[in-house]
Amino acid sequence: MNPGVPVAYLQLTRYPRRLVIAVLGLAISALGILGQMGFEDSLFRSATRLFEELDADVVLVSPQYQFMVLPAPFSERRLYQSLSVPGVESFSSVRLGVAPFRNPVTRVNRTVYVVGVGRAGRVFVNPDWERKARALEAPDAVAFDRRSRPEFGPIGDLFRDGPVRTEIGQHAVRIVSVFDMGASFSADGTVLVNDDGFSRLFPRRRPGLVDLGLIHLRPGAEAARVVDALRSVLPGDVVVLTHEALNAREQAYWRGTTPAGFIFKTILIISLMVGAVSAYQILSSDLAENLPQYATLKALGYPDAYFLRLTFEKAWLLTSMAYPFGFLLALVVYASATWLTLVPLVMTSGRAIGVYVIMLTAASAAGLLATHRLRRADITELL
Amino acid sequence: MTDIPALAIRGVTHTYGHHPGTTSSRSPLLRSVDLTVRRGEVVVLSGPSGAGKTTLLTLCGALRSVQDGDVRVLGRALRGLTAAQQRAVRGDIGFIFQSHHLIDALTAGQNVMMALLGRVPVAESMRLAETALAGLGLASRVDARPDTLSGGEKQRVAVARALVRHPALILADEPTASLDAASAGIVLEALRIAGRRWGAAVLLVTHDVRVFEIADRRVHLADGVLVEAGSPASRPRLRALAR
Repeated sequence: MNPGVPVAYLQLTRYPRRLVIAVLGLAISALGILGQMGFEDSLFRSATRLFEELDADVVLVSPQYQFMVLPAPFSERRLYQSLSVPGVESFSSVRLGVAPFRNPVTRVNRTVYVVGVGRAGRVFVNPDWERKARALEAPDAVAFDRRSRPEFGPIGDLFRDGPVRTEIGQHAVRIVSVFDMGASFSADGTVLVNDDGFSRLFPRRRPGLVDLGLIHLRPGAEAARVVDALRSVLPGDVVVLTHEALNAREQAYWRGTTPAGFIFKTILIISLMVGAVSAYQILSSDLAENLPQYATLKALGYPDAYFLRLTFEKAWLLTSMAYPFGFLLALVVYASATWLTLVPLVMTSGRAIGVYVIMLTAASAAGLLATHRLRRADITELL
Repeated sequence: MTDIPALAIRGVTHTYGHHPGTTSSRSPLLRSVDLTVRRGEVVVLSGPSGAGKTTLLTLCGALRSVQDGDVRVLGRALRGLTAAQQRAVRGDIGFIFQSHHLIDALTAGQNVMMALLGRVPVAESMRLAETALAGLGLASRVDARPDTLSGGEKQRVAVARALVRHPALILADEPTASLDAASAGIVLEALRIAGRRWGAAVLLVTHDVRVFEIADRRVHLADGVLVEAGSPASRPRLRALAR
């Protein structure tokens, strides 16, 4: 039933002011959703970036372990014990801590995340990180993440002239290499040190305790089967996880336990509501003003489905008019946030399309609600 | 032209608040109404306000369900039809209401095109809309929006919308009530032409005596009963109406 008249478009553009307000509302909604998703994704991705680069098939952590900045140590002996399990080829360890890092220019301290890299075996998948971690021979040698926040100082620039000297936890250190990881919501900056260096920076930590046990399996070994075997062999003072399970647990912490997850969900719901309400307002106003006209069309033989389709067309047109603005604004926000926080916010095509579909759905739902009155109306009362 | 009347009403009784299968204590608005309107015939239905004229019109137009009696449009019984079947019947009917109810975002031509329901290609529907508007003296107003049209022009656009698909039955509720003499004359002429050119049956509800001029027959509705105008039962009321 297409009379060849673009009714939806003509009705929407009939009142430009009302249209602009609705488009603005939907654009803000798109911005809110895209911004929320960008920040959330960035938070969770950056929070697990270090863990994703760990070279491990199976990971051991303490039962008290919560998340990367609040680890709990366990005995390194469990790693040696793991070698008795069929399928386990080798292991390595990581120790984690935070300490004040002195900006070599301003002399102001800022907390840095310290990753103590075990000597026993491979630690990182990233070859550049692994090579630089292996090169840390002296206890005062550290590798610095040059994509850390600028408050740590212009380390990358200073490093061009040779090793940079500064202090971590009042211990003199030499930055002998730099690598690229990026700040996260949990760590403004990161340094790598070797086992001896970690013990030097954290003298109160008992030797023989590690925070992450990285277990490498023999080729062909089934991770799930080895995990089961490790659980049966090792005592309850360690938790055995696959690498994927550790990453999932880390993300789950951020999503479920911290206020960040709740805040992101709230922003998402509010943004969606702003969009749906904006769409509903213009669609229901249009319906209310045109009830006698639509009743006349019903008298002419138009079915309810026509009005539903007309309203959906308007909802989709509105969304399609508003979304590009919201999307461009979101790109600006992403770029600004990346520049300000050094936490990369990346727009993916999946997210761009997904949010568009979500907004189409929300606007359609608003349209469905708006047409309720017309569906219920007695047309003889309206004529 | 077929012998089947465009509209045949037999023994129609209608009570507001009546629900099928129940007995109602309310008095009926329409009582055993009989009326036949043949193709090409123009019938004027008059009567006092609240007599049930509009109700009868909506029953004939499949806009309201028939409770008792039989209403047939082009031989098709309306009683017991589903909403979709009623809609199909309405496709053969042209409605003209007291208010024009034009969509303000559309031009006069587009409003008329809306009546064609995708029955004809777009280009053809544009041509038909222009022709219908020209027939009502609005050839130069095809691209005008309703807010730039006078009240008379708007009503003529509404009439064009009702006539553009050459309906077999035209139901008009006070189509000239708010029109000046010139506009009323154009509308009545268009209705007369519809009857003559494609044999449309026209049932007009009106208080406007100007409309009587084009009527082949006049019927009068009072106290729920329909009588032929000119019959002894209707004379006092018609005389009063004419005054």
